Amino acid sequence: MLLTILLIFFASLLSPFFYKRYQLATASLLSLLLLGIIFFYATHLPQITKGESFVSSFSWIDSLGIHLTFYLDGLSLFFVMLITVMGLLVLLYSFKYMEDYPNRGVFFCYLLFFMGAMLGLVLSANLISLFVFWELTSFSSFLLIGFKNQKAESRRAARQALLVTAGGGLALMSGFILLEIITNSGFDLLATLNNAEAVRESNLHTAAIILIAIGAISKSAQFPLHFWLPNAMAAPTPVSAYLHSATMVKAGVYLIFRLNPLFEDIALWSYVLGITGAITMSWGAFKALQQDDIKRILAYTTISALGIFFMMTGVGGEKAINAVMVYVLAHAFYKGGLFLLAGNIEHQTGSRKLSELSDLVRKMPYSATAVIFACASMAGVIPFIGFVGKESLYEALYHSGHQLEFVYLAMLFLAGAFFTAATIKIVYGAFLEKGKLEGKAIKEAGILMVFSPLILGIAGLFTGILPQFTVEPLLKWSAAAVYQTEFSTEFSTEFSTDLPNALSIEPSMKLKLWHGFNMVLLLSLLTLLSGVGLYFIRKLIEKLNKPYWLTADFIYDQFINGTSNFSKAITNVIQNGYLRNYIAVFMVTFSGMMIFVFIDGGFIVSADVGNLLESAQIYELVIIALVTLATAFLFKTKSRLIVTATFGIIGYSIALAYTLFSAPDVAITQFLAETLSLILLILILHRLPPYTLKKNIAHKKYLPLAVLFGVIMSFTTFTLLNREVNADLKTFFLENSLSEGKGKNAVNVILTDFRALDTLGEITVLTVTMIGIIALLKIKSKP
Amino acid sequence: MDKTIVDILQQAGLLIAELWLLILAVAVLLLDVFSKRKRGYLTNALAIAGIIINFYFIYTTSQKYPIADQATFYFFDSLAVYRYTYLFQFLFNTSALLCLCLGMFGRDNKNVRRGEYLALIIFMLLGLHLLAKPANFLILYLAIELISFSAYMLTYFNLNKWGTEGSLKYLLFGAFSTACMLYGISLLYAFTGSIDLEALQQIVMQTDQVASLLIVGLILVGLVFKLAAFPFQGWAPDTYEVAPTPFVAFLSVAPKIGAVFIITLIWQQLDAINTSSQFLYYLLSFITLGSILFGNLGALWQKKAKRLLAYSSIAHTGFLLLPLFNNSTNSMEPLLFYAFIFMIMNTAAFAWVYFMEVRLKSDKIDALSGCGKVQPFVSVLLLVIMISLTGLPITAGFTAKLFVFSELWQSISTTNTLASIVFIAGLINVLIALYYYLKFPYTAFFKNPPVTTLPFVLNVRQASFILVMTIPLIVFFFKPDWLLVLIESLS
Repeated sequence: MLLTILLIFFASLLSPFFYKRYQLATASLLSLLLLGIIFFYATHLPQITKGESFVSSFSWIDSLGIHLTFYLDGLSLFFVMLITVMGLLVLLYSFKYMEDYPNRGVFFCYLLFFMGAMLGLVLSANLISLFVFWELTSFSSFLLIGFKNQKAESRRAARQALLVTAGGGLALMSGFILLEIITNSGFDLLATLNNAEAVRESNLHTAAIILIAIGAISKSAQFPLHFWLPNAMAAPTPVSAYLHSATMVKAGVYLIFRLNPLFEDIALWSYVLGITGAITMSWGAFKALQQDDIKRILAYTTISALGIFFMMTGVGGEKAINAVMVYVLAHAFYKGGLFLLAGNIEHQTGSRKLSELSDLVRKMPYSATAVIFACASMAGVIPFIGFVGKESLYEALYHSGHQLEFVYLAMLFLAGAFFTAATIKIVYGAFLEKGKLEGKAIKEAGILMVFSPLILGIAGLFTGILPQFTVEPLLKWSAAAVYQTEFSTEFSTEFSTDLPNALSIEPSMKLKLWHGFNMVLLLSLLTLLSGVGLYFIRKLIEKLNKPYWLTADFIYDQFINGTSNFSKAITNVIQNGYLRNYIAVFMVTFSGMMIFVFIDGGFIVSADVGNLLESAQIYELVIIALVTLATAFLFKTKSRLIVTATFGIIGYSIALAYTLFSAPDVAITQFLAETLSLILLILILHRLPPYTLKKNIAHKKYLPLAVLFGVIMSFTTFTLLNREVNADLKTFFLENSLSEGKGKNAVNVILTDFRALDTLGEITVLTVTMIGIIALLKIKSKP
Repeated sequence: MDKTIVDILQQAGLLIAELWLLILAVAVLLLDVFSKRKRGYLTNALAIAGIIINFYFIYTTSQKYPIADQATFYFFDSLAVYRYTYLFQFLFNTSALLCLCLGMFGRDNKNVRRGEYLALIIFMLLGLHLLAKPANFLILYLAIELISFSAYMLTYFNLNKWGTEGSLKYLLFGAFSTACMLYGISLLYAFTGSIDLEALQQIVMQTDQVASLLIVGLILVGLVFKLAAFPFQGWAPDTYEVAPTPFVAFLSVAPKIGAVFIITLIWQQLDAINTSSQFLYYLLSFITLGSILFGNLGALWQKKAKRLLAYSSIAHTGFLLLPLFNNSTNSMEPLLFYAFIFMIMNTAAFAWVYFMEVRLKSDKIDALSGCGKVQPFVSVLLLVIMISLTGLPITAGFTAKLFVFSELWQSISTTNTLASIVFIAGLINVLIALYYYLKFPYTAFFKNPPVTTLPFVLNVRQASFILVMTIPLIVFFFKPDWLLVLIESLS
């Protein structure tokens, strides 16, 4: 299985180089490769339809116990078939369709890359690799949507789709990590599935369900993250057909199918999926009828159909899952075909707006046949597979006994009616109606472009007539994996290559075209009739529009702009280029930290301030007053000279304080240092450019901050005073400075004798710096 | 002979790599003075060769003074060999080597003062080597100063007035933070009479919370400044923007990783006591979350590549600190893996910016327009680098993020509520990062250049440098164990 994926990736890398020179050969080789892969997986069919499954495992990140494991059962095989068969058809189609694009080699590269990623996604039995493939599909979708990159619209759509789906992927990843925390199974999908019990009991499952649902919702374009899909129609048509209807958007559906056994007993799961699905289904169907662009109609009906899948999974149970599986197949057949046909129409007429199209049934007879087949299936007309699908949906809902059964049924009915109306709109508007395009010369599309949709249309008819023989065997095993708990409690996790694991009980699924006259058939007929009715009031429906500020697109734009503006504002506050601002940020942090420490340690109360005030001497107060006054004066002045002088006052006051506390040696050092720096500062002053700060207001905003910081620092120092200090060293230096160092000034002795080596080191560092600075000064500065 | 001197002589072998770097720096300076032609290639080659030889010295030292689970002390307890000492030296050395190699692609007028430039980088590397083996705060302080002073000067080496501004800001900010750190160290000295790293344990045991947290907090200030993590990130974007780009590739990686190493050392000292207070975790979450959020938000709207990368490297700092949340294991593998990958991808990204500067004299992202059409293969490399920086598959950036996040979720399962907040915020930030990192490939692939200008192209030499840097990013995604084996063998 790994080999098939690697082969596709390999082909993807090579195709742009070879396609330039050997078009035909490359095209046929690629088709053959895909045929081979289809054949390879088809050989597994007999065993899968007996209920066996295959596992193959490769080592990957051993240190975290993560293996690259692939797993093939009914569900995976169904999706694999969908991906490869649709892939082949779309590829054939695009050989012709993409003829006019200069760099189409790259297009095939992206397309195959996507196919490989998608295959990997549905085969992965490891949550990490599943996530990896999930994100890869998002990236390839990004590249494909933006393929026609001359248009700003395409570029925007590509980025939007990527942000939504890749972002959803991250939510998914966090959901997976929560699952890993719960089950501790090394991200192994099968082991996780076997641990459903643990998940149900854990209190983390709510978060896990919500996160995983967000992932699925974003990928499968469910409300409220649906908006990227209609915009993604900017991609070339084969891409829309393949990624945005048949496969990639179904990744979310695949995921909820796959994880359903894990969560199906949890009410939240069923409500989240059911309600999101129901809303999306009705909303999408309604919007579809409002559109004029064929591709947008199809996009909205796709959203709606995906909503059906979500809703039915939410309903749960054997019948519902069986029904939804049939509908997934039906949808792939008709929607893929319709997208390709929309491409045909655009390719031949240059427009895909219904208001500009007509008469195509006479100009493009083969395409028209295919359209009518596909549309009939979409509307649910007997005897197409769409009809079988819709019947089973009604049937399953009707008997499900779910609390919201009738709400869901009513909404499904409504959606069905809208589908029918949209179908009529396409078929009548573009094909049957006479007028706008009558005189123009429009030819039928090339054979490759008609072949694929026709095959899909005929397949829809054929499987519709004989569902029980053609698709039932695979579908029932596919569905069985979704509600698997009833059939087998254990998923095989043996890490050996292709180990078959037979199940004992047969799942049941009874597909028939004709069930006889009953309630469900009546519903189907009523759906068709109401659809016709809706078609006639379509002008009315088109007028029902939300105000612009409620549309998802608008909110998305606002969100992106808002984030961008917000980040700009934040950066401008914190990082405005002024050093004083950075220092301010530091002070805020430090003050906050210290306040926290004091509260945490309960020191706010215990501080004994009264005692300190009592013991204060008058000359201490004079010094304090001097320092305070000088500091206050700093805020008043605009002259650098005065600022420097004021600093001097503060410095000398502090030195004075040292003398008062009987530390004359420290004091004299302070005096000297202070004098020296004052002189240096004044020397530099006259070389500086004039003072530019005109207003003092800029300073004032820092005033409260400075006061806060000062208070905090004083308080900190005060509390530290009460601590017991290790006095050994102090006494050592004081006692030994005269006897050992032959000096009375302890500070000097420390510098020149006891720690002389440190002083030497410090001098060396300063010298190196000085040399560096001199070297730099010698270079003439260029502006 | 005096026993002390005998001891010193016997242990001098421990410093052989450092001594070699010192000799190398002097040699580079001398060669620059005496070589007649001011082409600078010779000096550059000498520096590169010297640093490659230094790998050998690191290796011999590691053989002679082998690592153990516990630190071993030398030079009267002023130097120590920790379990990861040689590994970090290896990392620093590699980063310096990459920086010098990148410098080879420079413009000719950059050869002014080439000798000093190279010598300062080697001095900085020397400081970093010392940073990997401090046993007391004095050595630590000296190492940090050596790194900082070299960095202040190197910032100016674009030799223009913006360089002065950036360099001065860096210097003032640095002086401020260092002063805080010194204050912390002196308080530590006052309370315990010792400046050993292990005195931290003592202080927590001897004094109360206010004093110990104040000291730890103040010492952290200096380190967080070197890390360029929030709230001391202020200097980083301004400095990176004006400094010579190859040097920035070094500056944004090596000192950062070094500071993380020291912080983990301090963390281990404090963890040994297991303080009852959650305070340090609050502080850590504040720093990590702040860095990640601020870095990403700052990068979001940048139009200049270099500034964007500067902000984003602040965010990466936050990710580098994530493994610290898990105090149950002392494994540094996730951190080291991240550090390795970060070094590679960050250097690659800065290399790309440098090539833009060399050719276009501008680092506007818009200048990449049309690059994807002219050079699809090279642009795919750009895509890989950017996705790796974002932390998404199929690149090693993803694996690295997975590793650090795995440390986090393990601490979530051991009831650390803070960790889960950080975890979720970290994930959201990956999305923000995706938005801005994608600007590069987005512009390269999807936008067309104005008709008048030719699209930006790399020449073969430049492209192969980028290719060499990109290959590990993909290889280590598929085979992360290879890198882990390398890490294992050095530690």
